[in-house]
Amino acid sequence: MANIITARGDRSLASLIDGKNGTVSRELYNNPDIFEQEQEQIYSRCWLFLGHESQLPNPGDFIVSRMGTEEVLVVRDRKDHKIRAFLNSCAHRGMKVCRYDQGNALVFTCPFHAWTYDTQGKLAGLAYQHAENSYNGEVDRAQWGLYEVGQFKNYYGSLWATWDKNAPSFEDYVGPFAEGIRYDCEASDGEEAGIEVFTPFQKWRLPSNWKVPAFSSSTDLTHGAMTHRSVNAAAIGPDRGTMSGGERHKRRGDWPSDRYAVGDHNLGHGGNWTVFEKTGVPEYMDSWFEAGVDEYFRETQAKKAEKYKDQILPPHGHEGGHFCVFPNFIMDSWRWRWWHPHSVGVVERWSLFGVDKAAPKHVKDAVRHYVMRYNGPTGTTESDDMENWNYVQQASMGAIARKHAYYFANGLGRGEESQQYPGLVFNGSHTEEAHRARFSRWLAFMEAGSWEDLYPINKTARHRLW
Amino acid sequence: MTSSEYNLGGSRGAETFLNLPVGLKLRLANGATGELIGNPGDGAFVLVRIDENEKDPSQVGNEELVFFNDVKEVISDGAAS
Repeated sequence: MANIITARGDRSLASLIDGKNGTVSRELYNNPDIFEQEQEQIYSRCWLFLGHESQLPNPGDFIVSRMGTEEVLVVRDRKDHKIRAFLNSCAHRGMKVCRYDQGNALVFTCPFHAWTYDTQGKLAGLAYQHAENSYNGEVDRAQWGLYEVGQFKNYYGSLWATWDKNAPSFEDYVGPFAEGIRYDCEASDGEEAGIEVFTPFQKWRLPSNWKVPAFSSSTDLTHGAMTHRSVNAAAIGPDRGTMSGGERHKRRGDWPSDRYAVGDHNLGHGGNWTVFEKTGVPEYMDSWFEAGVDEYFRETQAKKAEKYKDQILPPHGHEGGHFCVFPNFIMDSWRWRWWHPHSVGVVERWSLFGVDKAAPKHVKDAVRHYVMRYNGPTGTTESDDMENWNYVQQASMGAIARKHAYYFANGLGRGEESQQYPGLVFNGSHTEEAHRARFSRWLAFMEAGSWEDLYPINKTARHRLW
Repeated sequence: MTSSEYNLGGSRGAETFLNLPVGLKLRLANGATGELIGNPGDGAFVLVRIDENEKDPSQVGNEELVFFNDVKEVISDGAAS
């Protein structure tokens, strides 16, 4: 008689990450219980990216975004013009109050029992509310509005929220990466919050656990040479064929700098970190096919050079390269990408692409065509990446496959911790330091009882595993 | 359309309610009257500013979301009022 196996030895979460040898169990990616716990421990607590203010320019404008597996209604109020975010679920009996991706509304009426919410999320009306044979005026409307996020932040146009009222401030949450976020919201001439985004969100689903792309992208420089070999050879960038798409950094010219992969093991963020060694900005290099586009960017680069003539450029974003904000958001100057957990083996990827608000139409069109060609579900490089993400999960789920750990030891033991930021480790540009930092933070969140156990609310906490 | 043509009953009543334009004067089921100042176009509610309510004069001036069931009729199109 065969027994059902119910015990598999040490099953603690900490046992699934081997800090000494630099490996991670595939169980993290395949176990449905772990997935559910991530929604509770990570997505219910972290600051998560929602969108950009340019998607809601007018009073009454709304978009439906996501926080983890849950939809949120992000709306600009008609009266005070502030942007707020709410769970897209009727307070009465849970139906989605908004089933459009974006638009403009006077109110949001639930199609189930007509509970209706204004653009501040307050319950403004419901069917039969005063009828003596029904609610009889007994509903306390002040208690039954839409469930609002715990904290909301508009950071230079980028919109963020957390469900947790006890989470640290947004600036404390992102720590040294706040500068990169601010910088990535700048226009190409240096104007603060000077970009807008192409709408709507690009969205597509992949048969993969969310951590496969989210914990691999930014910075994962060793994949480019192989995964993007053909698209780089085809020179699919906006250029005239003088440089390949994988060599965009050559637009910096001979600007002196050192490039690192960084991982902040206390905060979980990480990615590219470029230390520039002189003030100012690199000289502009022509790279666009379309007429008039280089002229525009040459002019904006000159304005930016004036702004930064006495400053060292920020180390990430724009010329510094992309970086991730834990748990699932990757950012650089022209593309914002994030991965929503959908189920243990399905992830939904969303993208936004930015362009100067003040750019003329021909420039905006050129940039839009480029981002569609290069990125997104029909973009060439994304198609390369999807080739991997479509099969990693498939090849990792079987009874045999899941017994073998993943390798995350590139650069293990060679990083140098920052004196200025506890937990921030600098390592070689092609190492996996950023990946390891995400797992350090992952375990910290999964084991934490609350934000009281987590850096930076707990200033003495040290989450580095390896 | 004239006010008499805004028939909120019958087979076309729901569609008529959905498309009621701003500015109409309405009589509500509780006897109050008011001006239609907003229509979200969802067929469920309209936004009304109360201008008369004999049963509860304190409601005059209030802006209320009124469910379609609680709108009795269109009194006038507002232009001649």
